[in-house]
Amino acid sequence: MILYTVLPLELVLEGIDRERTFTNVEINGINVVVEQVSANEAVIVRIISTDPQHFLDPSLQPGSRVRLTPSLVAR
Amino acid sequence: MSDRCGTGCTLSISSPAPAKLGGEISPVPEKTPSPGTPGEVPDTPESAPASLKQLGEMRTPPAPQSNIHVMTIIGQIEGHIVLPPQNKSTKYEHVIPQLVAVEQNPAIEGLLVVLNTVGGDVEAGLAIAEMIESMSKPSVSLVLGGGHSIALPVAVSCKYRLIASTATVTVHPLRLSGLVIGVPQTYEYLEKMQDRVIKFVAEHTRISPEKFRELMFRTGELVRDVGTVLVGSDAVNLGLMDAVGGLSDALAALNRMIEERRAGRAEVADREAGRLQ
Repeated sequence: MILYTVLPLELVLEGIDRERTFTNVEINGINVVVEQVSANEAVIVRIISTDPQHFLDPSLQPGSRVRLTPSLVAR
Repeated sequence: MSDRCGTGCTLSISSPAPAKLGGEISPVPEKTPSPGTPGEVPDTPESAPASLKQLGEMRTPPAPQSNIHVMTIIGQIEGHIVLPPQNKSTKYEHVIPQLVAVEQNPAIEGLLVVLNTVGGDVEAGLAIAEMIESMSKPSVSLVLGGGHSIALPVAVSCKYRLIASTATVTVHPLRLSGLVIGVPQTYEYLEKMQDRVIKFVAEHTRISPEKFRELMFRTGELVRDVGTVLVGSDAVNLGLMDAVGGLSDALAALNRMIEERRAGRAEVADREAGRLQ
C-alpha cells in the first residue's frame, strides 16, 4: 500500500496497531460487517453483498450507527 | 414535599397525582374492543407501539426522487488497510459497488463527485478514478476546499470538472520515506506508481506528462518540500480543470449533459425505429 497524501504519515497511521474487532451481522437480510462501540451500539464498517443497489442504501453507509438488540435463539 | 424535589418546584407535589390519574384515564381501557363498535382496533400487544409511533413524530414531506447521485470523497481515500478511527475516510470497497449501482440504476442519470480530500491510497484512488472514467453516464466533479495528491486523478476522471475559486490542489511526488508498507521498497517501484498517476492525469486533461512532472518536483512553493499548490484558476489555466465554479455551475453542467444524453438516445431510438419501418 502506498499512501499519496499531504498529511504526515504518523498522523494518518497513529494507532494502527490498536486491535479492533469486527463482527458479521445481518441487517434487513444484508450481510454487514460492524464494529461494536458500546454494549448496544455498533458502527457499520462495510457491506458484503453482490447486489450493487444495497450500496446505495443510506442507512447502511459505512460509519452509520446501528443498535444491537440481544436475541435468544434456542439451540 | 418540596425537599423531595430539592428546588421547591411543584413537581414533587403533583407527582403522586399522575400515577393515580393514570389508572383512570389511560388510553388502554378505551381501546378494549367493545361489541357495539365494529372496526375498532383490537387491543393486541402489537397495536400499542403502533399507536405510540403516531403520537409525536414529525415527518418532513418526502423529497422527490433525484435523478443524480452525489458522491462525496472526503478525508483519506482508504485502501487495503483499514485506517485508525481518527481518520475520516472514503472507503473504496463501498464506493466501487456504488458506482456500479449508479451505472446500472435506470433512475440515476448523472453523477456529481464532490471532493474535499487530503489524498490516500494510490491504488484505491486510481481504482475509483478508473471506475468513474469508464462510466457511460454523465459525471461532473467539484473540488472544494482541497483536492490533494491522489484526489486529482479522481477529480479529472469526470467528464466535466470544476474547482471553486479558492479551492486548492496540491501536486507533489510520491514519497519513499516510510510511505511504503509491505511492498518492495524500491525506487523503481515507486517511480512506476508515480508514472501511473502522471499517465492518468495527462491522459484525461490538457496537461502534458512532462509539465505535470515538473509541477510535482517544483521547488520553492512548499515549505521543506517539492511540489506545487494550485489555487482555483491556476488548475484551470494549466488545463487540469475545465472551469472555476461552484455548486450551481456543477448542477447546471450535469443537467445539460443529462439532457444531451437523453436527446442522443432519443435520436438513436428514432433512427432504429426508422430502420425497422
